[in-house]
Amino acid sequence: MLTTDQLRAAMLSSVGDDESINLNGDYPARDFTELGFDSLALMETCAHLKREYGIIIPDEKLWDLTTPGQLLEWVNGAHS
Amino acid sequence: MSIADCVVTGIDVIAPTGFTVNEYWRRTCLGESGVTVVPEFADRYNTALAGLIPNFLVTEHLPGRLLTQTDRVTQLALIAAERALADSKVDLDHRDPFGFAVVTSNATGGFEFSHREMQRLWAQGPESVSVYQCFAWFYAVNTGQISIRHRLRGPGAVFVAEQAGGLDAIGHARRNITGDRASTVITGGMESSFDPWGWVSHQASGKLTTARDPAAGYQPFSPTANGYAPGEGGAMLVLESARPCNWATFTAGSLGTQPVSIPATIPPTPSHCAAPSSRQWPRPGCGPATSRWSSPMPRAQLPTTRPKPPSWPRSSGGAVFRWPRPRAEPGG
Repeated sequence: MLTTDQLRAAMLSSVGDDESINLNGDYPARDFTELGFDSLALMETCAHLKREYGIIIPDEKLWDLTTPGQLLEWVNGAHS
Repeated sequence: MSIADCVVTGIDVIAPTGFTVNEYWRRTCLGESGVTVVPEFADRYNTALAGLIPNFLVTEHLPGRLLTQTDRVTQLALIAAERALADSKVDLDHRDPFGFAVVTSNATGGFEFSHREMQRLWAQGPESVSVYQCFAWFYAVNTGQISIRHRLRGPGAVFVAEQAGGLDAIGHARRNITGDRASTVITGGMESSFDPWGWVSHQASGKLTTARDPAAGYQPFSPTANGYAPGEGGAMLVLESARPCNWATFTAGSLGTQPVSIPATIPPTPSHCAAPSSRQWPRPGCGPATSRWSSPMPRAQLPTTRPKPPSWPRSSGGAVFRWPRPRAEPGG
């Protein structure tokens, strides 16, 4: 089970402390690109999830997930 | 085109002798050196003289997400490029981004960043290596990050010419303008590779001075020089086509063969041109004839063959980096 807080922490550690990144409130519903996450930042986030929680998201699947909410849904559906 | 086909409208310098162009120029005019013994290297290596940029708080200059994905050398290049752009007063919102090029030089890429990621690779495995390593290590990263940050889409290029590629980069920037490939170019060079891996790579050349006294070890162009002391830093210029203006006095047209001369006073600017700078350049207190580094190295003393590099020591089961090195306890 991956929580929104855990995903937020993984995403923030992947892009660095930056005031342009805002992951408050309804962030899971917003697009990764809108949140300031490009493909590299997403790959770094996935590497973080694998290291911390053993969650493996295949690259080809990753590009289908356009919001943090979709990522959470896929992870928790596949790994719960 | 004539020799005065380009003008320098913005400039910034980050050097061991100054974190701003004014400080750098002031100390240059005084003949001051930024070469010192690096304490971390002093008791580990037989070479320790280098020109390091004194501590600065990078978070005051760059947003956090750029720090996560860049090496120190790229951070320096980004800071210098941003300040050179500000100095030029170029209005990026009203320029064709495809006519704005970036041409920089860099010899080593992001050594310190790579050192850290290699350490992770060997200590924790491939999964722990940052994805940003894919470009952070690379010589082209400064040109790339500058163009991305300022959305400049003109031709980008990188010169890899040991630690002296800056003049070649400026020459190529000028060719971009004279060849109508760009109207404006950010150009210059930036170097920094003084993590332990970077330092031993410098050492591998066998040409670093082993002196510990800066005055004895840093003698550029002197017949008594006993090696060189590497430095970090560099400069960024904003080069613009002189065609819209008629006051062009860029004197570096024969780059690489003649010294770049900085005018004592920037010429007055016509109202239809962006003001290049209001800075008044002080003349140096010493000219070439009186400088302590005036005597050129006789050509005969230059090595005619490249010395064979020392062979790498064989590792017996995986290298172990200890870095950053724990500081010795006082009195310990």
